[in-house]
Parts: sequence; structure tokens; C-alpha cells
Amino acid sequence: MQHDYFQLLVQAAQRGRKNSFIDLCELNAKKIFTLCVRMLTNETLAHHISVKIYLQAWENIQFVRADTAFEVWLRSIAIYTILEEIRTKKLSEELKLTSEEIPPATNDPLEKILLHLPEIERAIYILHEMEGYTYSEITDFFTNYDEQEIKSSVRNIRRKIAMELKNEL
Amino acid sequence: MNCDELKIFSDDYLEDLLPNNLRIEFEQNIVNCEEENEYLETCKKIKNHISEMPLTFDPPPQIISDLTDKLMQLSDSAEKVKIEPETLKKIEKRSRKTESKIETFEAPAKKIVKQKKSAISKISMLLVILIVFLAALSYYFIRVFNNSGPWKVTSLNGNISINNNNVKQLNVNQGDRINTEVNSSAKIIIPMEGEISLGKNSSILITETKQTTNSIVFNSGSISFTPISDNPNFEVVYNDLIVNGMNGTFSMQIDSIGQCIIEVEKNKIEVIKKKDRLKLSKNYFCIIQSNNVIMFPFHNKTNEEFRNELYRLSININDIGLLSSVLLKARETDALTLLRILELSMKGNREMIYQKLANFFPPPVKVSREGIINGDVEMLKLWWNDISWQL
Repeated sequence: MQHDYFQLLVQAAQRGRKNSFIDLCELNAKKIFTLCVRMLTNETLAHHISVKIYLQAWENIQFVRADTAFEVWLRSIAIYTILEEIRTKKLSEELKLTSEEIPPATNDPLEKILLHLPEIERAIYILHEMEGYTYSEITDFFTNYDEQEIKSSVRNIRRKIAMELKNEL
Repeated sequence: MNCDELKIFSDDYLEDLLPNNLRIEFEQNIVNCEEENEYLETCKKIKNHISEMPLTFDPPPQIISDLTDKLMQLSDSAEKVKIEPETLKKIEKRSRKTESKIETFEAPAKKIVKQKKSAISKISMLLVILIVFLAALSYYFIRVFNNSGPWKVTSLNGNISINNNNVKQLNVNQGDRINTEVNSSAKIIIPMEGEISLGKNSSILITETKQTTNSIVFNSGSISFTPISDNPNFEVVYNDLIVNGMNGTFSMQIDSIGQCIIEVEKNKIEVIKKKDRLKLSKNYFCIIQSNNVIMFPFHNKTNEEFRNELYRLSININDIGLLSSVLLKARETDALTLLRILELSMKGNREMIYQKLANFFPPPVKVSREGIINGDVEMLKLWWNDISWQL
């Protein structure tokens, strides 16, 4: 039933109904915002990137296929948009954000570790371990790294995180 | 295998990349190496933790209002935030791949089949490219031909004027203003979408005539809209409110003291004021005061006394005496009124409204008491849909 409801909203949005699209965004707001904060470690930046993601999704809503879940499609757009920001720093510069900003507070031990990892390492780990991207797909985003380097990076971070969490989980 | 060898293979083991013979050997020996065994166990716990990880960060409500503002400002001429076609292809590929991961768990044995399928996947890839190309082409044509105009205006009686010129029948387009006089009325047909009736002394301005959005500004008098399609795209802008026609048959009338009365005859509509979205079901009325305050909606079967109390409660929602009196008098047909009161009430008052409402219509599956008391937007929507369906 939930799936049907989403389908109806997507179809209405594809016909140009902005309100249905906003409903879809509201239903996914927490997931997208959490992903943005997790990747970018800054709530102000996550706010602006979330809006950018939704606008990109609106402009490309016609490309959502009937056999694809909207949430999965939106999440892919979110990943591409976030990684573009990590590469270009366009919005961070517009918002005059610095790398010294304090990461948001969280009680989750893994989340805490992620928020304090270096930016590229964090992005690579999240993409592989949490979002299910393959090493080869990750090289598309980080063209300076080859597949072997990405693999080695994921494994180093995995070991580091396991070391820190071994008594906490 | 000794501990050093186990350490070399442990990540491949975790990622299911070890050949069968090595995997068996690894599993036989790992218990002998405490350090690596502990590492593997922690990694498994982390993997479980990731799959159950809560959504830690709450989005500020400003995100949706910013998005709403930007979407409302967005016009065809505005700057587009298009994604590169190459990226779109990757997104689509990724979405389908992730979806299949959600739906089916791929057992290791299936990997052999997967290899055989790689040849087929190349053909699929070409098909995907072709589909994306065709989709882009269709999208272009839809945009080019996305115009529902011209609309056809016919005078039902008396004189009507379009942009201050008296006419009997005319095609109208975006930017045209239509006025009726004291003894005249008109009918406006929006092709494939519906029909607007314009009462006496009324004035509207057509602001958008797209197949994706048909929009008018309602200035004075009375109008009604009857859809002819199942999902018409029609909106009425009234001051800073938007009435989204959804699939409803509805009317709007401005009375002598400047209040706008909205009545829904069939299906449902939505009244939007910035972040506030009020859905109105058939047989429900809603009054918008001249200062644009949306009063509580009411069913056409409610009596005058109940309406007066609702009116007063709209102005002072925290008046507990008034709220108790409204709850006491409310009947089953007032359920959507109660849901609106619940939505806008302070948390402390929601419990008693919930109880009253649940007596009439028990909340559906996926709607919990706690969620409603905490103002969960999605649950409120689900309950609203459930009640409106039954009313």
C-alpha cells in the first residue's frame, strides 16, 4: 500500500504536480538529511545540499522508471550531488564554511567515528560499506585513485573502526 | 594457515571474495587466531549495526519550506539544475542495481549464473542507453508541446470582458484577465482538464496554461471548478494561499465581509499556506478570513452552534473549555474537523482529541497513538485518507 502511495505521488510529480513532489521529499527528508550530514559533517551545508538534491530530482523526475523505487533513485542523486560538492566545494565556499567547523553531536559510536574521519576516507567508507558501491564504481568518483587504492583504503578504515569499536558494540 | 596469512585473507573473506577451497581452509583455521577472529566478529557486529543504524540527524523544517519557495519560483525560463546525461545513466543503473539488492539476496552459487549473464548485460546496457535516449527525446517533446492553452470562454448570460474588452466567446491564454458583471456569468473550458464556472461580479487572471500546471488568480466574486480528467492539474491562487484542485469538484466564493468560503462537492482538494497544508474532503467547507487565516473546516451537516464554536476555537485553539465543548458535540461526520484540530493543538490537548476521534474511526495500520500525539505528519496523512475514504 505504501509502495502504491509512493507510485501515485511519483506519477503525479511526473505530470508536474509540485505538491506531490514536495510530499515525496518530506517522506524522504530524514534519510537524505542524515546521509548529507554523515558525508559532509556540517548541518548547514547538509541543509543547502538537501535542497539542491531535491531541485535536481524535480528537474529530472521524468526519468524515474516505474520499476525503480523513488527512494533508491533519490539516494543515487543525493550521492552524486554530495560527491560533486566534496570535489568542487562550491556551496561550502558560497556559504563561507571552513573545515574547522565542529561536527554535529551524535550518540551513535560508529557515527561519531565517521564524523571525525578525513573527508575522502569517510566518503569512500560510506560508499562501500553503507551504500553498497563497488570498488570499481567508487573510482568513477575519485579519479585520482585506482581500484586497488580504494580497496586498500576501505580495508584500512575498516580495521581502524573495528579497533575503536571492538568494546562498544 | 597461520595468523599472518589469515590476516591477509580476512577482508577477502568478509567480502566473500575467497575461492571455495581457501574459504574452507580459512574457516577451519580462524578459531586458532584470537586476534583475527576478534576482528571478524567486530566487523560482523559493525555490519549488523550499519543495517540497523537509526536516522541520527533531524532535518530542519526550513529545508522543505526552502524547497517549496524555490519550486514555486521555478518557471520554464528559470535556470535548470539538469544532471549530465552520462550521470543520469549511472544513476539509473545504480538505482536498478540497488533495488535488485533490496529485493533479492544473491547467494554465492548464483555468481556462476551471473558470469553467464554478463554477455546479456552488455546488450541490456545498450538497451538502457537507447531507453535513456528515447526518454530524453520524449521529455523534450513533452516540454515543447506542454501547453494546455488556449482555454475557451463562453458567456452564459450577460456581458463578460476579457482584458476590459466586451466579448461573447473567445479563446484566452496565459496573462488574460476575465471579468463578469452584475448580471453575467461565464464558463471556461480547460482542454482535457476541467471546467471553471465564473459567477456574477467575478474576476480571475489566468497565470499558467500548461498541461502540467493550470493556474488562475481568484480576485473577486465566485468560481467553481469541475474536473473532467481523473487527475487534473489545476490550482487557484487566492492572496497568499494556493488551492490545489487535486481531483475535487469545488467552489470558492468571497462574501460581503471579504471572507472566502470554499466548499468541496466531490473528492478532495488541498489548501496550502506556506508549510500548512489543509486537505478538504467532499461535503466539507472551509472559511478563509480576509486576513488569510484558515479557519477549522466543517462538514455541511454541522449545525450553526457547532460552527460558531469552531470559529471561536480557530481564533483561540488553547481554550480548553471551548475545546471540550467542541469534542462533546462532535459527531462522526466531524472527524476530519477533529483531525485538523488535533494537528494544530498543543501536545497536551492531543490525547483527548485522539480518544474522541479513535472512537469514531480507529486508526489504521501503521498509525499509532504515540505517532499522532507527537504530530507525525505521515501518520496524520494516513489517518486522514482512511477517514475521508469512509465518510
